[in-house]
Amino acid sequence: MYRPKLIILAWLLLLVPTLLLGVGALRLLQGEETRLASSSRSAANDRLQAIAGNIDLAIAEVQDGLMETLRSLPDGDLLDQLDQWKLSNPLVRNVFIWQPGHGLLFPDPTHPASDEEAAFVRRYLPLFSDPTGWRQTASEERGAPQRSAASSNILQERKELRQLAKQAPAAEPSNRATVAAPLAPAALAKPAPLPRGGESGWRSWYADDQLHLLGWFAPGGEQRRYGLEIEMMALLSRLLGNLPRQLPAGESFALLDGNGRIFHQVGRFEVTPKSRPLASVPVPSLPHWQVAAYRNPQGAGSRGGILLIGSLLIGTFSLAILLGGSLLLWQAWRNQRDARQKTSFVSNVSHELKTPLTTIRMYAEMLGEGTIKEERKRDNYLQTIVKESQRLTRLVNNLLDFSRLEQGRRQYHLEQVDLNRLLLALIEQQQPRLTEAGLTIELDVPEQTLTLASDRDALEQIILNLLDNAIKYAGAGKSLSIELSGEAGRVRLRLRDYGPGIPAAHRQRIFDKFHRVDNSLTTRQQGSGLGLSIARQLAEGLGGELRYLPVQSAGSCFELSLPQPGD
Amino acid sequence: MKTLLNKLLPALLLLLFAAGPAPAEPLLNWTLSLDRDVLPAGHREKAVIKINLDVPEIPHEFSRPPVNLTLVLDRSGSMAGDKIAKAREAAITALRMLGPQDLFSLVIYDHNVRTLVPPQSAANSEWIEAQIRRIGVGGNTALFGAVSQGAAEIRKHLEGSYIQRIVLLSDGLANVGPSSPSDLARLGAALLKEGISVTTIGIGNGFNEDLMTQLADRSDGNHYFVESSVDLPRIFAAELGDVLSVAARRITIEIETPPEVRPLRIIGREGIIRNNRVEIHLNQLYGGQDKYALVEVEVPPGQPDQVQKLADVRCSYENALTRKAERLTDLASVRFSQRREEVIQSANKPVLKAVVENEMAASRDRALDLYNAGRKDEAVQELQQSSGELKSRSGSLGFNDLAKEADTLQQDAATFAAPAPVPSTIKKELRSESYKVRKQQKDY
Repeated sequence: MYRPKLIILAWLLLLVPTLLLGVGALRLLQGEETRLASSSRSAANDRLQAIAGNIDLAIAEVQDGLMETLRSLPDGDLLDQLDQWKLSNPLVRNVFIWQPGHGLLFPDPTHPASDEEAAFVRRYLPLFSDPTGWRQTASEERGAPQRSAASSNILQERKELRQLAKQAPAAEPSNRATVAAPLAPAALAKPAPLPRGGESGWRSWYADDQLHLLGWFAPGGEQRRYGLEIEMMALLSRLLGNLPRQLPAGESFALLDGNGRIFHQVGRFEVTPKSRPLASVPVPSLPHWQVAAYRNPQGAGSRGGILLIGSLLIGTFSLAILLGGSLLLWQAWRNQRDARQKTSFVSNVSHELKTPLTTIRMYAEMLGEGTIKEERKRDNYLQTIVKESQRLTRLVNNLLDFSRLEQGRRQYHLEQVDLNRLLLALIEQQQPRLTEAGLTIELDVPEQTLTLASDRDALEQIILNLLDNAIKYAGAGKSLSIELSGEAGRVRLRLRDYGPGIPAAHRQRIFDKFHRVDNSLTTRQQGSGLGLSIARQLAEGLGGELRYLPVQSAGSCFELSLPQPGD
Repeated sequence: MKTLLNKLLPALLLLLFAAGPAPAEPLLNWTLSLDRDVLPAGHREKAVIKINLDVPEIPHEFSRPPVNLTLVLDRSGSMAGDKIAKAREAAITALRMLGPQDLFSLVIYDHNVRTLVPPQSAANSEWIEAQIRRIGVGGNTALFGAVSQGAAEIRKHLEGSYIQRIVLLSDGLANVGPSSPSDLARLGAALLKEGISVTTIGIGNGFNEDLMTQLADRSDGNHYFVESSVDLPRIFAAELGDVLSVAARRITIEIETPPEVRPLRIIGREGIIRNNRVEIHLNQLYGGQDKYALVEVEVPPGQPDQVQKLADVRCSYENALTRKAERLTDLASVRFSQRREEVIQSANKPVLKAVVENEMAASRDRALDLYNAGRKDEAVQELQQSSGELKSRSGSLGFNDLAKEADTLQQDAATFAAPAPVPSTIKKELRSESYKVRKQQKDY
């Protein structure tokens, strides 16, 4: 049964879930993508925290160590000690002694000993002339996030470990000291000076667009303070090793200074001032400094990459499902259509077979009864029987041809065919039918007869089928023009009628088997819908083609063209 | 008698041992000379003391001290082509000059810094050379990071008797990380305190000469301006020649003047002047190369034929061959006279030549600084002023050739005054020439 609605319903049933599935998968993918991105961001964040923590710890330990040394400097000879310290320690850039009320005592602001000392005095002028400036202001403290409690604990623990490691064995009073040995040992190591009590602190300072760190110590009971300026370049130079060395491709880290400028970077792809970091973490000891992580925007697996590939896959898959399903449904529809066609074919053929058979039987019975006395009537009846038999034969031949063509068993026997003679013979044979249909033939054949090596029966069948169609459908046009020509290695036969013509939508489909244009004409006429299909297949089997040519006015034109290889 | 001897013997032994072994001959010789041995009496005068350190060639019986060398090579994109090819060749040249007791390491950098060859004996030359040949070019220039990493590699063998040296090769501006000359100068100063000198080699026209000279200056390394990469192997060979001939390390020159004499300035070198003390530090001295320091002092008016002590001069250093500390002391003094001819005749040409050359170099440096800061007119003025002063000074002492030399500053003044900007090559040449004069760097 023909049920197009069922097929459409089936198709919808295929389409909607596939689409839903596709969209669902895409949403899941997007979710994964976001999750991945946030997870990688948080991983980068963790790593950055560790790096920032390391840097912070290193700086804190440096500050601790320097302050300890500062506190341990003996009182007498302070100036010399400070100077020596500055000369020998790469981390000490400048040293100073300051007294409230007097200002800077050392270096002498009026007689700096070198350009560097002069620059130092200039740099810290506001600080040294304002006694309240020693404590970090609240606004400045906000710029430097406080070290976490955990970090401070670690710092303290490491410090205690260090102290423990440095503990020298207690100095024993020497029993051997009474005898002066000839090789007097070098003077017993001086006992390590103990750090003195008093206030101390670290101050971050901004000058010349750069961060500086100043450490000071005010011994208990004294007015004055003394301290050092850290050699920032030396300190930072040594901290660069805290950034990871080996990094996977597409990842880079950078240390950014207080102005957001890249101080140092690691990683194969280059970080530029325009790059946007994946994550960034401030460094507690360096106000406004941060460590940042970057991902290569062009790297594989970066944001959008997985989404793109995933979407493509989902899209392709959905498309494949839809296409496959559509293909199946289309096949089902075609099968339905074919079934319908076959059913109608069988019905048509049965009718076509039945009609002449009925006539033959009727006339034969009447003749057999012997009731027909008139000779002429008897002849008429016999002629009719012959005509109808011929018609049956034609039909059966067509069916046979069709069957053989379907099975690919049609064999072509080539012989020299005189086309002019063939055409004329056929027209003469069908003349009664042509006249009955009201068709006048206008024949146009070349003077010189055309010969072709071809299969006679096949040619006859083709032309016969064309004539048949014209008789059945184009009678209203009154005239049928047949033109035979041969040029440029091809033979052309054109049949042009002036009937109702073929609607545009059917012009290709008329050559399909079982296809009949569905209109009042065809419902009145019997037909199997095979004629043109067989004719075209035969034409192609002969190496040529049969096609429909559009015409200006009403009617149709069919052209059979065959190759005529040169002699 | 016996008891006396018993009491005396330990005392004698003690004396003998306490005195220690007889001090060996100090490695360095030096000469103290003045620009004028005789000063005009009756006026406040200025005198220049030249402390010349004569470094002998390393005697054959001594083996030279081992070297800890790190090459820091720029492989930013601009080095592509001839430059990187010649740099590789030069690095191999340097490597081949080292011996198995020396350490070699190689840091390459673009925007990323990488240690290509960790510090190891130069005897592994085959493997090291293979690494060097594989150096390719890359991105931008992280000069600060590269020098930092080079210093980190050096520090792995900071203890010991090694001569520590970083050789930096760059053709470009530092555009990743700190890039101002003052920042790199601070790094250089810090490295000097650790005994590490950085020699800078600038190749082509694109590097920052202020930065490279400052870094070398503050760390007491050499500086080379190389215009064509073809010269690179030769430069590296010359540099290695210096490194392999270090005779003395950690040299401190201290000058103490009596209260009436006032130290004014050090000509051409960095140092500290605090009250009556002047201190100059050098990181190393090369065998066969003399180096000197010029200190100008102010002398109070003196009586004719009076001898005035100008300064006590001390030079302490470590003998690189014996690893022992050595010390030289001397004093400089000057005489006064009424007679002008005596003063003129007492003039020491070599000292004055050194003064003129160094003043000219210092003046060119100052002029360049002013010019780069946009103060063009002041730069021109600086050169013209120096030229005039030096000319008259030399002329008054009868040294006309020196006066003519001082005149060449006028040509420089003209170059600076010209409307067209001073070409980069000229700036680099000026900086490197001035550097060589002030540091008495050997011509290569």
